[in-house]
Amino acid sequence: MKPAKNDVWGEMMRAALNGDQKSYHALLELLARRLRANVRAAQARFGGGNADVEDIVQEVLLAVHLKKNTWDPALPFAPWVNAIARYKITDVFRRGGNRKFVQIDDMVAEIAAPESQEADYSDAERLIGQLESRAQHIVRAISLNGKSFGDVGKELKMQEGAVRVALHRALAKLAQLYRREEA
Amino acid sequence: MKTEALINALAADAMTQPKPLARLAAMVLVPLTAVLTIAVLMTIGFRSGFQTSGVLAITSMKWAISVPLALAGVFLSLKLALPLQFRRFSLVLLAIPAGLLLAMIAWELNKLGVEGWQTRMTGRYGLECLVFVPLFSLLPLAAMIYILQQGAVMRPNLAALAASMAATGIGASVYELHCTDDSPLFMALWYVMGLLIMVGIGQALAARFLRW
Repeated sequence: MKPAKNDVWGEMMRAALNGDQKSYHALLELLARRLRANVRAAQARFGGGNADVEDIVQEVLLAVHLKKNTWDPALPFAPWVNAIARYKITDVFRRGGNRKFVQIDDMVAEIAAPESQEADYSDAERLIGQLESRAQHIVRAISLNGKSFGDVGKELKMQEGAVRVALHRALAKLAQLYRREEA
Repeated sequence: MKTEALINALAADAMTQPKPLARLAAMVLVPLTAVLTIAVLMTIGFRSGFQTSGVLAITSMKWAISVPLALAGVFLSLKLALPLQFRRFSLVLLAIPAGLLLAMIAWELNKLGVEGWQTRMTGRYGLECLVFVPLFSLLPLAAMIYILQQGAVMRPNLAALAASMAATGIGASVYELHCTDDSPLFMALWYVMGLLIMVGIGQALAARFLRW
């Protein structure tokens, strides 16, 4: 990724580390956009043609998120995020990265089911299915339904803080599942 | 899940921040070293007359090699755990314990003469050393790997090497409380073999535990 001028990303990340969620959200969206281009370029170069771009983008975003404590806020953000992205993308490619396949059985089952919703066969969706059910519920409630930690806590009869911890663990677990899938 | 949804989840989790690595390392390694010291005391025991100044001086000379090894190993590990922080140049730190050992060997050969160097090198409890140094280094190695895992290691083999050095530095420093073979030639043979064993274990663990 090209270094942002004047370390705009760094500013956003510093704000994020001080609790500015909006800033973090905006930064992640910017990164996702850049990453898409990077991953496509890498695919063109290394011939990882059939890997799903979005899956790799998501894996890199997870890595950026989980490893952000290794960025020194005194330094510009772009070189750090570049290093993380490069490591992750090459890692995915080196491992053959193209684990994008949907089992025929599942496809049939899905088609047979009277489901009007658009099916989502992404890796992340499949991997979320491997989390324990409470973690699944928390990830879905917060990511898809935009619920607050407090609301999810009430639903599950958990302390808000415990929901936060559970979400963090679920995300770390998700990153691990990505790796295991590819190994 | 769409990327958009994942970003929502990540943003919600923005505030969860692990401890800085250096603090984590101190919090793990200092108590562990204390526990290992007690373990030596309770099992094989400190060498007799440990408190006497003569024995303490000799043990301190051995620490002068193993403690810098531990510190250099920890320092390099922490650098290797943070992207873009490692400089190849900092590997010269590892030359400090090696240089000190060589200097002590030269000093001893000068003082006691070359005569009988094989006996001093073989020592009395070589095999014991070869078992206990790696044994007391195992938990420190596990701790170092755990610390590295909390970072973002991009050179797993080099990081595992630094971790093995740190672990052996700790394990050896603890075992030196017991060890009565005092020649630096003995260290150059048996302790270094213990170090090599730990380096081997570290390399075996690198691929499995240091990729993320």
